[in-house]
Amino acid sequence: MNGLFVHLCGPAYIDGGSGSMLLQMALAGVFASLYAMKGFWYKLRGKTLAPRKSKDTNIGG
Amino acid sequence: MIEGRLPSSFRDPSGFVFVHNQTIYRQVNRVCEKDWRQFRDSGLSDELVGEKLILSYQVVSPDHALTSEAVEVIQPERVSLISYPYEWCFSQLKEAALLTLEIMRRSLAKGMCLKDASAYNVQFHGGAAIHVDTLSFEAYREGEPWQAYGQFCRHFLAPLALASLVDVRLLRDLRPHLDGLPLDLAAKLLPKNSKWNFGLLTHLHAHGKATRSGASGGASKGSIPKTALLGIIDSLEGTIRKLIWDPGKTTWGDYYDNTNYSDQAFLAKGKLVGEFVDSISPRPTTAWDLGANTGHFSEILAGRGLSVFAWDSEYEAVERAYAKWRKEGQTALVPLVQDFANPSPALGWAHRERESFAERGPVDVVLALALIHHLAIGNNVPLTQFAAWLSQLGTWAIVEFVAKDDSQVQRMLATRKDVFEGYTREGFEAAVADFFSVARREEIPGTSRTLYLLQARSA
Repeated sequence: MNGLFVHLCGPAYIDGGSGSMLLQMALAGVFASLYAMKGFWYKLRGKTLAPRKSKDTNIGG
Repeated sequence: MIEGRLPSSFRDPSGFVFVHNQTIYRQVNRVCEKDWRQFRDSGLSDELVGEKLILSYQVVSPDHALTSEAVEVIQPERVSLISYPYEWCFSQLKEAALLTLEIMRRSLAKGMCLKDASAYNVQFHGGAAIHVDTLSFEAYREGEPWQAYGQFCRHFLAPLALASLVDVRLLRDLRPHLDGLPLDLAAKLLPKNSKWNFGLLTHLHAHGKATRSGASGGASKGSIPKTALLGIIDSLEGTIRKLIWDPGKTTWGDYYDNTNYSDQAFLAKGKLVGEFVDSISPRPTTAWDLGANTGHFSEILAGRGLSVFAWDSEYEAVERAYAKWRKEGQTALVPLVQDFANPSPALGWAHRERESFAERGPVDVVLALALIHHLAIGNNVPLTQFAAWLSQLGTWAIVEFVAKDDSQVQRMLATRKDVFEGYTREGFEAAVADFFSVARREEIPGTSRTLYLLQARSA
């Protein structure tokens, strides 16, 4: 990971890959905005983005 | 079962799995004590175990520890068979992917995160996917990207996208690629119009490019807010939920509708299978159904209290069985994909990370109904070798011999020379004699098929 100064905590043992780290940072704004907008939209409709209560397997789609 | 540290449990310094007196334990090492305490004290462990998202465990005496690095030892609930992602159907891999994301989301809510996202951390137990690596959790620190993002995309998103948009058989490519499909390779194989899907555009196409350019050393400094991380998880989930695969109708997918014998004969065969199992003493508890198709006969065994793994080489058959059993809430039935002419080999470091198909046996009963002609005639496997192989897999075997005048065999011989002189009932009985004793032999009424109950001589 030449020149990549991302703080990684704890005993991380897999190589996250500099490309994967860079991509997350590059797209952070986009995904944060989309998530915030979705949250706002769901709130308007009275839903929530909180974790589901039970395992949702979504078999076949 | 081997004793001592499992050969596959060496990557994560946080701990390892070992076997002592045939009981499985996981040692928690001092190096991850802080994360382990947080996992337990935050309530995350209770929540995930309570909702059956992660395998239950109990903390046992530290006297069980194998090395001095231990801070705690746990005894996880036993999983009856370890299966691998290259043996799963589409819906199983999809369920494992969604489970991993759900656990990551719940972890973030408790101030933790998944430090790895390997598909090998998921198993099928009690009829559903469950995470089995209790040491996959570490404290989340604001600003950190997800260390396991690349791994998640390689292990789950890439194979699911290829299976859904190109061909389901590409799931087999997980076998040579033990750390998941390379993203640039997956991006090359996907159709061009997959770039119109924002999730695939970012998490696969752009990710593949970034992986290649990033590997050569791009300089960057920064962090990502938690909302962005939640956004990535949400986007991955949405993308995966939309990936679907319809099994449709295939050669053997509609096999039960196209059998060459009557409903009466089919019922008689099921009755005989049940009788054979009932006659086994001591009462069997585990079974493998080889060439299970959609699992009709597996269900007969499960109905008698056996835990059954139903193996078939067709993705369509396994997909249908899984959808049906998942819907019914079956807990003793798990279908898996296996090519019996080329079964899963031992793989990984020193050939000891992933066990071969045969190494995961033997079970109490092996069911091989209408399988023999596919191997003996379809793949030229000598009957003696078939018998030797079967005897490694089970203490008892129920085998259906399909004679040459059966229309299914005739169909197989229609386009090739019959070089199978020894393929007769007598030839079969001679071949099994070295490995099995025949406990019962019954003709299936109205067919040219014979059902055998065989007991392995080594048993």
